[in-house]
Amino acid sequence: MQDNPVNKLFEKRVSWLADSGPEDDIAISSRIRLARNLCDLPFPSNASTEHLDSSTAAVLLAVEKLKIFKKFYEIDMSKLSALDRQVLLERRLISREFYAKKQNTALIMTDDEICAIMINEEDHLRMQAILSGLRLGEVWKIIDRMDDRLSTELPFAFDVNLGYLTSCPTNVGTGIRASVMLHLPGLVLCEQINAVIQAVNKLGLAVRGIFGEGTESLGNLFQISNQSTLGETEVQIIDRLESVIRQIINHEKNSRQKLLHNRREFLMNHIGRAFGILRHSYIVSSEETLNSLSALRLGVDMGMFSSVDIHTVNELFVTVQPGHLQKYAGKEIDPSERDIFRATLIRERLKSSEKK
Amino acid sequence: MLCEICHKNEATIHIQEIINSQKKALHICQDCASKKNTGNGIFNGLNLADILYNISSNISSTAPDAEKIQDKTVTPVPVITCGKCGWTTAKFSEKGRIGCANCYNVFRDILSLALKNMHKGTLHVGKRPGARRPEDEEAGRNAIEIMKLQKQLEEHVIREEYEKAAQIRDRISTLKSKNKKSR
Ligand SMILES: [Zn+2]
Ligand SMILES: [Zn+2]
Repeated sequence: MQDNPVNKLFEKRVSWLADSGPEDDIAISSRIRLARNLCDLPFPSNASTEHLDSSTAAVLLAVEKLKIFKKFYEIDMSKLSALDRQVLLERRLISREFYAKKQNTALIMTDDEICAIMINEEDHLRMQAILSGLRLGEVWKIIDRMDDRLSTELPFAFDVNLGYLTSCPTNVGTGIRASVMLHLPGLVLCEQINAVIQAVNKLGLAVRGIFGEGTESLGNLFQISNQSTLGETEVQIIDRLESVIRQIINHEKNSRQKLLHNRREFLMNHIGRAFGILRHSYIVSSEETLNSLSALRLGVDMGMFSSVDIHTVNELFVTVQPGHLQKYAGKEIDPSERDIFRATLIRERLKSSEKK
Repeated sequence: MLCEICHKNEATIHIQEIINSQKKALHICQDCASKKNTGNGIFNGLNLADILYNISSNISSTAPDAEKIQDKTVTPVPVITCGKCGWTTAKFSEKGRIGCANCYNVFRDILSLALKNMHKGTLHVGKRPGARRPEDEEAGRNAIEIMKLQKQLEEHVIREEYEKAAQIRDRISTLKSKNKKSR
């Protein structure tokens, strides 16, 4: 392998955070993953090293031959350091399971980070496409085409009645997992978020926090995704998800207006203090950072900080994560030092954003 | 708008539910929403462990049947094993995963129960490999037709209209065998 491709990621901005998209004040990004397996090979969790080598070789060969991607990287995950794997995880290019697995796994990712294929995760292929804003239809077009092209070279395990066969029966059929990342500070401040989560669960969709354990969500970022993959077409699944997302976006907008009209000082205080912490702290924890970034983002959305660029705030959600921080520092740093380094990085980013 | 359940509080939550293919809008308050959530929705807190717990409690009842089938051939085996990859029912309920594509045939009975609980339907109606769309193909149209018929079948069984149920069952098996051939 040439020079480390993970280092190249740092030369540019994260496209799904730094680009604009429809409804991107609330819907940060849209992502679709497809699970596929190769027939006649056991699924990765039940496969020998030779089996895993064959699936890796087959996928790499197909991608090269078909020239699906203009500029892309092939990454042997076993050769990456834990820190580099963490960076990929924080940029949502790989899953937590893939991060932990590492042996006999490979990653293909495009230069713009829009498309990626995890090889030998739970299934032989987990492909994904991600764009900023609420753009599930566009994302589907990209990944549908990627899947069509790959299927001309790769024999996918498919059954007429059950569809694409997957290692876990929860993914069988379409193998699709569509998700949208939403920023919902208004619903959280109005204490309506639990009711919304319950209503969404009731509709057969999953909600989880992006950061933090269990139901707690640092930074008020939530991911809504489909659970059922069988018995509906891909487009039906996506449309159903999107219509629920649009309702949630409306609830969030209403909550923000309600806060502005009924609890103006509370809201301004909340946002103003958060900006103070981010702009002027010298030591700041990860938790305090994420919650303050959420409040600042809300303030920018509501037009209170015309000088702060929303995409700078978006990117900070990722760049203040431990993997990215240590990569910027160029070395491993312990948590207490990280809090100092994090504060410095945020101050600098916000300052340079103001100048523009 | 007032909450449709308690008729006291302002309705702040607007849920669209699909019940028996009928779209229903429900306008309720926050209190009633949290109460409603403890109800019996299929997907409510869908948890693989729970589903697999149900599966393993089903294994004991299906195992004797499996033995009977095995009896006729050679030796009785208490658990089902995939001949292609060696995966067993025990591994399936332990890991919640299966071993290979062939396992979907081997564990068909157990899986069909689980799939019913996990998904909106039991038949694939989405895209197929090779850039072909289901609606362009007979097999895809058949799959959609089978799904419709299976719903009707369930209704006839509930209403104890066994003659009609039998007719539909025949049509389903004709369509299914057509799809098998077209593979
Ligand atoms: Zn009520
Ligand atoms: Zn098997």
